[in-house]
Amino acid sequence: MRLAEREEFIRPPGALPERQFRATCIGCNVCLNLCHALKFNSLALAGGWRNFGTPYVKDMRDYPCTLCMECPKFCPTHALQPVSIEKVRMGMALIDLSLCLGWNGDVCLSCSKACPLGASIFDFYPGDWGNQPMINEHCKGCGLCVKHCPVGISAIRVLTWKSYDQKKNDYRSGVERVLALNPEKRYAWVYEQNMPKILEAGKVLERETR
Amino acid sequence: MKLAKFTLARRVVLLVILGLFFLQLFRSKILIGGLTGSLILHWVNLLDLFAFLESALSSRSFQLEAFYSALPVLIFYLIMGRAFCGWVCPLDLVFRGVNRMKQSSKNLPAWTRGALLAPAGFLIFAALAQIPFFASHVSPITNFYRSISATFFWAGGLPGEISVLSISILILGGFLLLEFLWPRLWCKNLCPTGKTYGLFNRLSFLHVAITGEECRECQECRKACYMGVKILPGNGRTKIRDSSCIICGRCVEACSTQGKILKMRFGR
Repeated sequence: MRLAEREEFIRPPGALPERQFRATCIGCNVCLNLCHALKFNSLALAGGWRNFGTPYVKDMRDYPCTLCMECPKFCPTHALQPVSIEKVRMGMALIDLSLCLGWNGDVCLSCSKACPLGASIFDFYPGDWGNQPMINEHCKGCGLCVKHCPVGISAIRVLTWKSYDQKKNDYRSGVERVLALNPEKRYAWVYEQNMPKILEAGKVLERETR
Repeated sequence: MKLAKFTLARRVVLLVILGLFFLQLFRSKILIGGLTGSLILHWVNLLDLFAFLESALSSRSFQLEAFYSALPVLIFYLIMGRAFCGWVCPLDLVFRGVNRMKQSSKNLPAWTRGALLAPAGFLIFAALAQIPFFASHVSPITNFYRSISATFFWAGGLPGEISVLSISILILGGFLLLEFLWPRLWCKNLCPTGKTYGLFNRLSFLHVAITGEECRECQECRKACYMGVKILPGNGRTKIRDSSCIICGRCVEACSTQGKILKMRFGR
């Protein structure tokens, strides 16, 4: 049983800013049960004493948010507010370049096909190593790409905006570094460093549920 | 034995509502959520009045849409008085089960008798902590529905946290223990949800009426009432307007004049 407080939750779409959301949500479970009734099962209830009973998207590997926008329409206290899909800011998905097939010599693009907003979210860096995908900051954080990534433990992770802001610079410089590699070094990076990792990740069957 | 028609009707209403909430686990959209906040027929939101007050205070903002959710509830219980407690609240049935295990008329702790103690305390705490603490953490109603959903999700392997499930059940267990030690202490003296609806008893259309017939002073009504309402002697009163009255009709059933003195009445 985990009682320690976490600050970071991927809230359902249309949620108020975190503090305001916590103060408004009464834990009535309408969003949770509506999501279940619509067969998405995306939401879970958070533990910890300040967030107790509030909804969040827990398991994006199996149950991502589909941006159906039903729960914000029917929140009794309006802690989730009806917004258009373009204005949703649940989180930000980041691709782990060392696991992504598209960055390691394969043509995959599963993530960009799974994305409900497709072309407006994805940037591509075509090169000798294929059509390398990159997610830009218009990302809604729904996690559909996480679910549809064929790599065992999913090469994509959704972060809250707060932790994305902290990691942004490191991540950007990492991308620049990979793009600047010369062909020999890129070959070594893919086949010596990444391939064993991807093969290892392929063996992982365990999901994130619970 | 006389057929306890109000008790029968109350149980039917309670179980139908509870059953409709159960159906949401099987993807019915008739009633979704719980009695703290719900969604009817995928169409109208309902929101408990105390939860609305608490949420507005803790977030320090007045959400018009939240008020629209609370408005149907407000109007319904302006008409029906505190009937929520006697007819809808599932804890009434659960507590009745606990009451049956032990017949006790122990005096309730005197300090709990202040009418506004618990509601005011929870509202002040909610405003200071900026969390609707009663509605989301404490309320036995919220925890009742939350533990049903969480158990179902846990059993089905759906996303959830085991700590939320176990804490909800622990809190619910705490309320059962409280009920076992001091029967109806929670309902009579503390429950902020019930006390909010109790305010409407002064105006409600539905009420227990006292007619002018001669009372035999058998005290059956007093024994039957588990909310401790002073029903008779009448002192010329024609209606029971006590804010503790949950309009359950047990006094009407118990009255040895077979309903000549006490009557359930709808109207001003």
